[in-house]
Amino acid sequence: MSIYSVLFLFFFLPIALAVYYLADDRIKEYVLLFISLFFYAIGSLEYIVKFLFCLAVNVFIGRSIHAAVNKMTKRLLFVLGVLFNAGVLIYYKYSDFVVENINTVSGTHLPLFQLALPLGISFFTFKSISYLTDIYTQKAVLNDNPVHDALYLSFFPQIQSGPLTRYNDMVFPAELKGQKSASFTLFSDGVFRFLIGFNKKVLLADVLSKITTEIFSSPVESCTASYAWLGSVCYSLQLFFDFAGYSDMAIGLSEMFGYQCMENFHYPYLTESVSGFWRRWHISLSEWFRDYIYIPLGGSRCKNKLLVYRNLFVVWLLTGIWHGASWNFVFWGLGYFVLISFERMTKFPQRFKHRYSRILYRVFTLIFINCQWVIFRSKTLESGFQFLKVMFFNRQNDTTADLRTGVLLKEYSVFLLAAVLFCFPVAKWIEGRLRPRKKLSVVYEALAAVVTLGLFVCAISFIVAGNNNPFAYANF
Amino acid sequence: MDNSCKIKKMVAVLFVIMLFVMFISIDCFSQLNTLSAYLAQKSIGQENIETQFTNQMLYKTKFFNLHGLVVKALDMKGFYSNSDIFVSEGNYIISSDPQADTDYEFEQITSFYEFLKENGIQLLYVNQPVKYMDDSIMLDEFGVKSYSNQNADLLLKRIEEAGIPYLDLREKIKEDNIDIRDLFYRTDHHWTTKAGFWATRQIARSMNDQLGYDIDLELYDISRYEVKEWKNCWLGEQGKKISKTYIGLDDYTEIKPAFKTNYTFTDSEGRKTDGSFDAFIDESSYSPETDVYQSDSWHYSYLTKKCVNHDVKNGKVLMLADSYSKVTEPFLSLGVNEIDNIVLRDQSSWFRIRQYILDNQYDTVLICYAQFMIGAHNRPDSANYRMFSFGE
Repeated sequence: MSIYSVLFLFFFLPIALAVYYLADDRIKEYVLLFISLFFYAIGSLEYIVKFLFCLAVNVFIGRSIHAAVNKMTKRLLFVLGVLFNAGVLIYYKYSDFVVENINTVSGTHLPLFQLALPLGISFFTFKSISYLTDIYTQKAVLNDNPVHDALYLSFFPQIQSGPLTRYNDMVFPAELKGQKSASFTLFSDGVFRFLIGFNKKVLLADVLSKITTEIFSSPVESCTASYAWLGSVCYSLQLFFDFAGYSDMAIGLSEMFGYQCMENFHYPYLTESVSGFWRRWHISLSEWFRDYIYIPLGGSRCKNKLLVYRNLFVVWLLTGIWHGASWNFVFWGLGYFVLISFERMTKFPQRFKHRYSRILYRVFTLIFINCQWVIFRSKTLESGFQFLKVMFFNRQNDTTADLRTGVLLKEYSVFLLAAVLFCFPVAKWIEGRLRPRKKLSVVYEALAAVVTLGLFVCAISFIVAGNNNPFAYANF
Repeated sequence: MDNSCKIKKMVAVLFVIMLFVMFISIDCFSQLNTLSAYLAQKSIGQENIETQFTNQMLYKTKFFNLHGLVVKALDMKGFYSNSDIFVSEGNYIISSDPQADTDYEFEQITSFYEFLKENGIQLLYVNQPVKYMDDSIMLDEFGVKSYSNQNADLLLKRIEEAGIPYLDLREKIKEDNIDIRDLFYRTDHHWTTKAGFWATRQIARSMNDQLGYDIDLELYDISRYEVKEWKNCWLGEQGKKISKTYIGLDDYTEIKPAFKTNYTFTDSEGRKTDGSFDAFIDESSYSPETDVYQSDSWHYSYLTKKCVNHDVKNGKVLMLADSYSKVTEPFLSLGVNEIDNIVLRDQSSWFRIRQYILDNQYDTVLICYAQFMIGAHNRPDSANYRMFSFGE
């Protein structure tokens, strides 16, 4: 069940909200845990029992680490917990990749497992590892109730695609314990955020996906440079609005149930550098790798500089593999390792004194990121390279694809323009300009609310018409 | 409390009201049962549940129409290209066809022709047009290549060289100076009843000229028919996918003989019934007052039937046909003694067309196919994959 489906919006959500808000404060977390498990069951029925088992194992190990007095026992339990989660992830997500490569290298014909991916497996295991680590390092402040831990790990708005919040951030809202006005403010903020995310996902990401699906499924030999560039730029925009839209919806839903949630995106295409991009894109994942891989390896404080690059290599190799079990994801991750290492070595772009140099580097960064998304989107590394070759060294005589590019640009101009525009903080800029003029500011706020609601109705019409796609990040 | 906060709270209240109104309207209790069944025994797939909930949604049609309105307002004529629907000028839906080498089709037709010749049975291949006569329309308007007419040209050239009789209706359209758009529904891929009536006259004439028939062409004088017209009354199969607010409704014409007819019909079980031409038309399909999305295709109100026309002495014809023949077979039945219709894609795998022809002792076989059947055998997932499989 997607959080933008009719089933979720008009059936699951009303029930969940009604049951949650009618329940006594003392049992609210129990209720929300049940709702989250119900959500998981609808979305991944075949794995619900295994999911419950994993949940129970993690909470048991987490609580045991907390309760253990002996340091050795704590460490043993922690290692066991991490291995358990990593094992689950490897088994479900990477076993076929491993078998395929063994078969290729050794010429064997070992059968593939062909396992369906459990809902949100990558996010769940990463959250579990962060939960166990935070308890082990005594960063997590555990409350008395293990149900809170289970809720943290299975909270339905975040189970499918994050954000990867930390245990300490999942605080049972004090507002709900009496201050109804404050809790309603959080609720209404959540609704607004949810609507914005919903509109981003359905009206921008899904519409642009029509272009990318067409272009990326065309035989590469029939593509021209303009056609391939249109496909790659649209994919860059689609992926942003898809995932940022999902994150907005997840944050909004969390707030509707009284929990605040960390930000996951901050206008990533405004970045000045490749390193900066990852401080703006999927922030919760970058921070996860920083806190649980990079820093434990020594981070950038290693005396031997080579070790710093080794640490970066490990982080980006794992980032690539985390996104998918194929070589193009490995290459994609290592591509970032190369560029981020390059920026680290050269101190680019901070060392540029001229504005134009910085602009030029920013353009280069965006082109690099765009090319990286091509590798990310392609089915194989080879097809990704072929697509990039068309983008940069096109020798196509047949100009049919150029004609098609023109048609697509004209037809989708409104959506493309809106997508490019909303990559920038336009709304915030307008709000800032209008703030001193109170009346205008009110008119703007009201207008924005009407437009958001109007677009929401429009987005539902697009869902009903069947032009929606699953979240691009749903299977990671 | 600042104004921004107040506005957000108002939005939240409206949102919650909307959620609960929609919740109540989808018959929540029966949906709970559906969901319980899914959770308990997996009897329903998750996609089916999503579809079921969407279908139960309040104002579902209104939402769908709103979607069409938005896409139309943005002038997105190729928005439904993933369903191979392109909206050409005048809200006229067209589709593209991939290039075909026609090898399979040609081999099958030549082998079939030899088999029929050996058994003293005549063959006429009738090429039925698609909604455009020049493939370049797809390229010029949408930047998409289509090969429908080029595929037909190639196959017909090869058939001609093999000496197999054929009728290319596109040539007749040019000779009669007809605008191809007048022959088709705007919202459906089928030709209109009027077009089918016109095409039947061309087929009858071709049977006279090429197969030695003596069909009375006066039978196809429109003044001898009752013509009933409905304006803006139905939505074609393609139109239903993109909404009536986008494409608008289609007109419909019913044509039936004003003269007396005398038939014996044989149903699939072999039972015989006597009747008139009226039996070819299921007028219950005409329901302009019902929801256009729910109502049946008006094109399918004409029925194909195995029958004997007691007013004509000669001709025992089998039509190997597609859904275009819904309107041509009834009219052609007026000019021959016996007619039967087989759609190969609808037959089970054990069906043997050659044996069927021998068993029923037809004297003529007409292959009447729309151009988009050519090349379907290159795509195993195509519904028309078996249309050119005429047996061995």
